[in-house]
Amino acid sequence: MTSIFILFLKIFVGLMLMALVVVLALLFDGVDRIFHARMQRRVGPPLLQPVYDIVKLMGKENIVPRRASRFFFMLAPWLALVVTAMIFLYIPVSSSRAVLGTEGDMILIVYLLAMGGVVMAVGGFASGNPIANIGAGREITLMMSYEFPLAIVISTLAWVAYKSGMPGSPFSLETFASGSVWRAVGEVGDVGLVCLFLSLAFVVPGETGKGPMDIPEAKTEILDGLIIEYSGVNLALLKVTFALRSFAISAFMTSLFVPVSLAGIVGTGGFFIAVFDFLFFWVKVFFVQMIFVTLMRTSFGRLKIGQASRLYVMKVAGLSVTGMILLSIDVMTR
Amino acid sequence: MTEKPEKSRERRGMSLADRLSVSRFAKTTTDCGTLSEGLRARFGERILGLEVREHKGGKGDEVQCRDLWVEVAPETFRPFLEELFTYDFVNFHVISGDDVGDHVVLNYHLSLFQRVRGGRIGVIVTVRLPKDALSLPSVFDLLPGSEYSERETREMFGVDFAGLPNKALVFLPEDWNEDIKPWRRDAAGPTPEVLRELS
Amino acid sequence: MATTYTIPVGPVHVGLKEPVTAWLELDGERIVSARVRPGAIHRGIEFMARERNPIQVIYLSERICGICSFSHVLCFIRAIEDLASLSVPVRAQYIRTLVLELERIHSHLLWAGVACYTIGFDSAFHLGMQMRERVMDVLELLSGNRVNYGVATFGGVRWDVTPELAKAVRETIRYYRREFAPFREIVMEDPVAQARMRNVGVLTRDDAVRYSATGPTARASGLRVDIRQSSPYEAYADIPVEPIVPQDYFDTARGDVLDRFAVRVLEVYQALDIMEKVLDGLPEGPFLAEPNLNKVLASLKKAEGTGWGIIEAPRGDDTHIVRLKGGEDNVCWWKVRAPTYANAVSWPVMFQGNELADAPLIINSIDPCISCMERMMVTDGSNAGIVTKEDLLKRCRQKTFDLKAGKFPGGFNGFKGETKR
Repeated sequence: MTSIFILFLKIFVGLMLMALVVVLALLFDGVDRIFHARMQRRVGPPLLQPVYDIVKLMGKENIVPRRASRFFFMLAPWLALVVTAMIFLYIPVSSSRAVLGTEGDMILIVYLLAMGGVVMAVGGFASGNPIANIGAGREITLMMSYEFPLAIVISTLAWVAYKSGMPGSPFSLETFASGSVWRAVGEVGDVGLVCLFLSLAFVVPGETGKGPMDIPEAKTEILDGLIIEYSGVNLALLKVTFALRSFAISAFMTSLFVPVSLAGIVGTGGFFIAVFDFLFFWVKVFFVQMIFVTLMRTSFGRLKIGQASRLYVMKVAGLSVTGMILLSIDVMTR
Repeated sequence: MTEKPEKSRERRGMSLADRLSVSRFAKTTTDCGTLSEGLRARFGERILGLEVREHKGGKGDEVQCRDLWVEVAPETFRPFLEELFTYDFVNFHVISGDDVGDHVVLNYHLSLFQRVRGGRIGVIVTVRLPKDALSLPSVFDLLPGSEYSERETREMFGVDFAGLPNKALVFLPEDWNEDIKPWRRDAAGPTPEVLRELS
Repeated sequence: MATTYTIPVGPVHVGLKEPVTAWLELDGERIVSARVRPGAIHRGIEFMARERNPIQVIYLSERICGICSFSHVLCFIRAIEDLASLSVPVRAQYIRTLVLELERIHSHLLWAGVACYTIGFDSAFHLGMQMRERVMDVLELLSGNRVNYGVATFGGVRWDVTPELAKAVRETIRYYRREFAPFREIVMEDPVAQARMRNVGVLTRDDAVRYSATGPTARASGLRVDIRQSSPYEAYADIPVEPIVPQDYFDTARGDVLDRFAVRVLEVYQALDIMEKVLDGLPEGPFLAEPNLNKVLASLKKAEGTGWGIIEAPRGDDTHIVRLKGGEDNVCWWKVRAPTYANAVSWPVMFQGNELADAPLIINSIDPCISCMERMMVTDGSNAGIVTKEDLLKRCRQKTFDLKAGKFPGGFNGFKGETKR
């Protein structure tokens, strides 16, 4: 009886949370566009412009190209949206709890992020447009390049959590959100953690498809690439998905590396503290997103796919391996 | 102002490959008088017309540069151009032209000695092609930069360039009726039926 | 198994300013071969000129291109002055030079911004566009227009440089000396921009000579060619101009897109210096030889001959050839060769060995002005959907009447392929 009640509660809370994150992601997207414009000495669009765009697109018809594989073409945007929104069920949004914290862990989050990208690539391939094919090919190439450093970051952190005896399951994100990983290691380890943090920061533009890594959607090269054939509701869904991806990877990064919370400081729980932490979490995500998405995309032009791939496979992977080695030394010598 | 004989002989003995050597993009200039004398000595009566035009400018109102307007017969055109290459690698500008009744006149606009301050000589080579033999050897092998001009002249005037590898339309639409040559003033030109008055 | 496929870049493409098509044969991302097909915006301007007198053609030539409108005007006017042996007052020569250099700054800033936009560097694009506003303001102060200035005419110019304008130009020179350096550093020292532009779209020195490349495209390949130096015209006769080539500023000339960027950036500084010298040396005197247009027209009606005008436009050397026939009011024929016409021939060479991602940048790197290059008439037997100027004017007026009468169209009803006849 209780388990069924908890299941319904989780479904209800999960749906509420998904609705909330969609709204928040669009708002953050609006802020992102305003900040981006202000840094370029422009006025920029109104805050709610992404919402207006979505509402407008929802009223437009879906056009399916004649050569498209209709099923996959129509499925991809929905699937991409759902898997991206699902990420938030596994991220501890309040002080330490995620809605489905017990059912999944960091590896699942990484998979969901990857799946969002793969699904969009499938949609691009299914559209039958050669330019979308190029975009989808670039998306897959980019993904294969940044997954390696990302995997090193995740596994090293889990190993550190396991070895240093942080309370909780080593692969669970709640472990990192409740007890700071920075406190778990010594000085050498801190340097290693900074390396991992920077590696993850490099992965963020790749995951979001913005900043110097907007290669699969490069509009001045391949005319928005893999979403070239999408219109109407499908395009609206994809736009929400893009906003959610930036938001999700920022939230992921926040829970891993910025576990500052009131509950952690006061040391006790409580309803008001939990509410405050819930709100404070989004503030943290906001700053992370502004720095690692908006600032990055304002400051740099776009790389070519070969250059981006080399950057991830050689330099960022090297950085993350360095972090791994430093952390290993730190943990082993304690 | 006549050229020294040994220089002239050296020029005569130059192979086409030597003339086309890009490193010969001259750093020095020959003045317009010497150039026209040299060309006269080489081609004599085959030069049908030769005019030097001066351009003045600045506060001193001094001559700043000169243009050489030359007319040759169609069969002299190619040797004439190759002779120009012995002075400097020719810079190609454009082919202009007009339909003058029974002939189509083409003007090749070329430049020599671009490296030197005030040294550039613009050379305009005029060729009159009779309408029953609208053909000229292509200069594409000497000057690949002439490709668009030759293709344009072909589509606008109907002049055939022997040796031009790509004779496709360049500016006219894909579905253009190639029998209509827009710049011709005779029956081959655009008739009022296909013309649309815009203003 | 190597399979290639063909992708069109253009005719309508986000990364291109104007319509041109490059059919790229790709192996993955690598360009195997390229075929360029212009022809999408051919307007027949040369054909139109046959029914206009020389003064009308001045304003027609201004509309060849919005960016280098003064270059085309001046080039056409110089061609007419060449054939009719008109002389130009020295003050007018200096004013022409001033406007040419203002236009060069305008064009180069626009190009630099668009190049940044093409590589996804939007911040630099907006910065460049914002800086361009200043020079457009000065041009508006001089002529009343942001583009298509209507400054030059036969035997002089139509607007004088007043002391106020001279002051504004000097302030603008100071503004650019101050503000342009950050932009240059932002782009040229940015690692991403360097990665995108270095060794991309290479045109070697030899190919630049063979393909008769002109202007910054040729100079970036290391050729010291500049019409302002090799056959000085207007005030350049008094103000020596040294062609800007990368080997003088960097170790070597590579002929890639970054070199073209550098050459254009350095030419902005050069233009500022030239403008300063023009203002310092601006002679007193008349700025128009013959203000009565009817007299000018009458003298041109008697003139007979072919004239060649050639000047260094911002994108390379611009060539106009005009023929007038004695006793005829109208221009007999007119040939325009914009710089892009010459530089576009070397596109296929530049494409070799590059990637699809480089293609729009390479096309943009010669600062193409497709409208300049193509000038065709709209003549076609079938033309379903071409709307003439009268139609547009009629519809435009009708719409105003409708609006005044309270009738709102209620959405775009489109041109349903109606033709005039």
